[in-house]
Amino acid sequence: MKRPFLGVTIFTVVIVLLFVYIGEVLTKVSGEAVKGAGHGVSAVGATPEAGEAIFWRKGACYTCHSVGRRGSSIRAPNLGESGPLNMPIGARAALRAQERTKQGRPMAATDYLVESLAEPGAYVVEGFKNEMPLVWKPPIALQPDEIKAVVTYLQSQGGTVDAAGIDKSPFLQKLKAAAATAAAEVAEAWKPYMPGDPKLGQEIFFSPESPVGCGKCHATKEKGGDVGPELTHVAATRTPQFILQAILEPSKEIASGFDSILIQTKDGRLITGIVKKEDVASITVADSQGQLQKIPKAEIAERVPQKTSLMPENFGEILTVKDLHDLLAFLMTLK
Amino acid sequence: MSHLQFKLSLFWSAVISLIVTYLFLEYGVPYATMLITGREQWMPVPRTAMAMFMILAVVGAMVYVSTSDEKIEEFREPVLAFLRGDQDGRWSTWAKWARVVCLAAFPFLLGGFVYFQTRLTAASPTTLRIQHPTIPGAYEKLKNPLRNPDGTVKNVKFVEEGGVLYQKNCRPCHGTTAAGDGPMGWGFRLKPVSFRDPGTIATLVEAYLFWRIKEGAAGLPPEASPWDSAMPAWKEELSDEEIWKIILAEFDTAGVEPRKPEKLE
Amino acid sequence: MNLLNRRFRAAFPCTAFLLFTLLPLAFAAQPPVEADYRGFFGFDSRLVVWIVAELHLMYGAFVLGVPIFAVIVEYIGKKSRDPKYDNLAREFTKLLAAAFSTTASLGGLLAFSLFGLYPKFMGYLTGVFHKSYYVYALLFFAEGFTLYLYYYSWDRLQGRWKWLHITLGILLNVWGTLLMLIANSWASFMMSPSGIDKETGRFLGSTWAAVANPLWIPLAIHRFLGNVAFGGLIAGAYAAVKFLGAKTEVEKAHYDWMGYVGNFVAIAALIPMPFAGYYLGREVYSASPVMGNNMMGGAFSWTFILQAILIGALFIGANYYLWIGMGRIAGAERYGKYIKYINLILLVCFAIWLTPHNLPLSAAEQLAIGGQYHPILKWLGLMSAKNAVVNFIILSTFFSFLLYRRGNKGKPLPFREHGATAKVVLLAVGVVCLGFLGAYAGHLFTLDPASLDLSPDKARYFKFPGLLLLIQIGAVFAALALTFVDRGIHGQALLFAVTAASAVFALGVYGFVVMEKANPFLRHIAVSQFLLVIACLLANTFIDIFLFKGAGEIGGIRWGKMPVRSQYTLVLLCVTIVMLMGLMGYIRSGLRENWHVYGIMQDVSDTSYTPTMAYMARVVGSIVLVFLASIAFVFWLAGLGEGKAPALAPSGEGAEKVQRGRTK
Repeated sequence: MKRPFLGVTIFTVVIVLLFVYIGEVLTKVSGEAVKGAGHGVSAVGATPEAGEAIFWRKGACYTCHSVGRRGSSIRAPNLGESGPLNMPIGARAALRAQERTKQGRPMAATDYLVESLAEPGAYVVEGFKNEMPLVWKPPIALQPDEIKAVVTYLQSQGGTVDAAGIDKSPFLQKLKAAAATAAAEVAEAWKPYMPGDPKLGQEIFFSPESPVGCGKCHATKEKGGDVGPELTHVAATRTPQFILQAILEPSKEIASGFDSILIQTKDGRLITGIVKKEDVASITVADSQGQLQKIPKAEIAERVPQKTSLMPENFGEILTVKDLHDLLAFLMTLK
Repeated sequence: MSHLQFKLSLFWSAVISLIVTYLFLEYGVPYATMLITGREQWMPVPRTAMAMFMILAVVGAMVYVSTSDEKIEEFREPVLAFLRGDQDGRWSTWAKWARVVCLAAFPFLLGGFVYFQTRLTAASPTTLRIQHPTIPGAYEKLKNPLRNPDGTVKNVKFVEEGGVLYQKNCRPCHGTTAAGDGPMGWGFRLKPVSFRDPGTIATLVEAYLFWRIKEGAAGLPPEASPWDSAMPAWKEELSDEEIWKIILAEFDTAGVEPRKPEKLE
Repeated sequence: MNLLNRRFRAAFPCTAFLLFTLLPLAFAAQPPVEADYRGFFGFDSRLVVWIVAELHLMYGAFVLGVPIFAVIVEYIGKKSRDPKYDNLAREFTKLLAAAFSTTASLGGLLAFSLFGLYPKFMGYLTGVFHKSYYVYALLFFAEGFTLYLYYYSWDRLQGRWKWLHITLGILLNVWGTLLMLIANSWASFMMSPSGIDKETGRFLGSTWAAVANPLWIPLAIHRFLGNVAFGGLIAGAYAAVKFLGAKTEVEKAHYDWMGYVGNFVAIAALIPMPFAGYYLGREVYSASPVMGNNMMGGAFSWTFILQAILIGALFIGANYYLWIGMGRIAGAERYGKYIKYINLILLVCFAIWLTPHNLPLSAAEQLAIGGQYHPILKWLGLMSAKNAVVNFIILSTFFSFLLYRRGNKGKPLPFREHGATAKVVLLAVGVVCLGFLGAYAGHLFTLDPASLDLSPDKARYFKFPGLLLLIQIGAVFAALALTFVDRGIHGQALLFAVTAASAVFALGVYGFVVMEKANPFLRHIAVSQFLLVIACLLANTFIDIFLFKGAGEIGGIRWGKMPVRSQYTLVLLCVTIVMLMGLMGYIRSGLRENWHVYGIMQDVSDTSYTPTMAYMARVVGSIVLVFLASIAFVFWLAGLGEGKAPALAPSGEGAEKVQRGRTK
């Protein structure tokens, strides 16, 4: 009895492992990733981030409102660009405030937003019902600070964040809110589409086999080439989306000192590169592969500054979404 | 059946069947595809499909040879005979050398296989587009306002107007007859789909098309790799009503009907 | 005395578990709890509920599936007066009784964890369904008591009381099916809510309206068949393990036969399964086109590749087992030559079934092909091709089985020897086929294109399948007529040929035409194919029964003469269907995406996202291993009280004596 049972057990485990393996392969082939991040804990402070957390969790605003393509409720106006007037709520508020002023209640954009939360029935968008609950009452029961945060979040949708303006708004007084003095940090909320693995990113960055090979031109700490800007502390000064843009659209913003030039020599050769060293007699140029070329000035017929970056423009083609996020995750560790 | 007839042993029939299957997939299907589609080049069977079909073929062969003990015996016999060196007469020397070559080659084959599987190679990544990414909820419930509740078009002139809009805006890529063969379409790595293909717009509700036209490639979720599509976001150019008209015209031009949200019985 | 003790010992855990299961219902009376979600000792709540629910479901499938065929086997035993059937039914029931308390305690654990971890959601669900909870509880009592009554009264209710015992078994199935229907309604409500205000989610007051939601019955049919196949294959694997460990030839013969019956039951349930699946899928599309698209063309489309691989393994494995089984039948070698063709058909069909509409392509391949779809292979990915091959697989499997059945049969008796009954039964079968084929053909001929939102000129596309249905009626009666003049085998062959030609080839190709010209009509094509195949299965089964009734035998079936690999095939089938159950459970539940109740109550927990296939495969794989390990343990426990070679003891008085003798 023992031996056959052992055999069957091993056989079973092998089949199940095969099943798991196929699952892994399918994930790899289909390139699927975890869709939609979970909901974080709501933060404190009148920042758009905190407001966003409240909007999508405690405030339950998402139950009725979507923001652009985020969320799926249609009961109440979409607060993103796909909403009424085809503009996001931050921009829409200014027009609504004008409308309200004409109706006899003079107010600014911020006032309109605060009013919408404080007295949702005061103005109802055409085509929708007056059915928004009072969010400062149970069961939602948001605190004045939290309402402020939500308003900054709404302002960040296409408008300017003005935390001080919220405090001044007479409508907030109606909520008997204590004035909070937290300074709003203006930053567009952006999250990577999927989590990345910095270790893999590092490999993509440095590995000579990698089709990307960032390390040929960029250095972090002591390692890497010096054709492009050094990236040792890039994450401390740049936002993730700036880095992403710099990878996908290198020419959009070229770091100063890294403009490339086109040199035509007298014998008709064309050389594009970044000037690394220049003296009276010669000029040393680094090309896009990180190779240095020394050209005697006597041979140069013409030199033209270029508007495009020397960095290849095709990383969007070469990198998979996963690779890109791994790379981004690695770059974000460089602080 | 005459006794003089040469009977292929099970081992060799299995091997030959697998080779024939492989040749059929590697050369037969691409050639047939070329003939059928009338294009000028062979259309290879994608590697993933090839691997899948070959695995199935091997499984099938293994299943067949093991359906009875006799078959297993018959299958193993030539292999064992070869390894033992049972051949007699003038073949024995040949067999001996063949055996040595085979046995010597085996580790090399294995090593080579491992090497080629594990070495780093530069290959373009295999990608897969999600055919119908999930429609955002805001679009999900939209109905074409230009149709009556029973699905008929409210006014034929909408189709005509849509046709004009289609020819003006969409034809360059999607083609005059909506077959995905517009002159500009050839410039893209991924060709615009043919709406005449029953697997495309005929399987979708109109709200889905509305979403795709309005938001374009930029509006695709990340997993549907938006940068692979050249579809512009038409919300910049066209009004909602114009888009609905174009949708009417698309179905009309392609000669298919939209999927209806089926009624519950 | 001992017996009484045993009964008491069994009744005690049974009652305890019932109480344990029903306790959570007390939560129903509690006012809504403040927290929306709670954690589980630092573990992921979703994972906890996933694992517990799936394990409960698997045990439930076994407990609901087994009594269905146990009773049938018992009835066959009563009819044929062959004690081996009765012993088999009893052994099945023994496994059932052992697994029942585990099912109950897992149900309790599931209810506890759901109420504990998802208080808000469960509060809502309770608000809608609380009335059905009490019915569920009552049925659970009925099920538990009937099961133990059925099992422990086996020896008492022999002979002239046998009918009472069989009635108990049927009652057991009635309770079981009702239980499943109620639990199903909760699950299908979460996918396609009804009986509530669609805007606010407010319950409108009628529990029945919520129970009778659109996916309730389709899901129930699919699960019912799945449970039977599941139970059959688990019992088959149990027999396989016992066979491998058997010491005597008698034991081997018994467990070989038990494995065969398990596999047979599973095939019988698997054959209509694709139709049930198609029906369920269609209703999912009807309930929400978004969910349907997400299922077949969106995020979940890849799970169906995995599903196709598993189903492929099931069908090929079941056929393979039959083919090996032909080795133990003297005379079956006559039919050996067909095996390679059936094998070929099955493999080609699976190759087509597995081919997705859009294959993963490398950039180089995209360039060579000039698009994201391969111009030929893309056709294999469409519904019409899939429907055609599924029907072909079913026909081939059925054909395999008929070959197996006639393995040791000699020349059939002349038909007139079966008397008038045979003729009446066959004609009745013919009339039934005529009834449903004719009715559907009539429906197709009179179908108003407008009801499918098609223009009137599309009505011509309805004629062809209608015509094929009429031809099938002719083929059925031709087959019957040939049977009456002692040419039954030719009749069967004719029916097979006509069915394959019409359901697989003609309608398979015609499906593409319909997809292009009159897409909404496509599902009628699928139904036509289903009816054609069912008519063939029905008529050929009955012809076969009479054809070989009393036919001379070339040699006996040498039960127990099976190679080890055949038993491993049974184990493979069992593991495969358990994995399939786990996978389908994930798909059904995952389709709701970030909704607790689809479109009504959103899931705002941290885990409101769809996990990757890799993660899913790891979780499902672990669940499968835990389930198999635990059920092996439960079976081992069930066998502890008995001596060696348990089911081989003669039944009736003798058995009790043997039992008493042992326990002393």
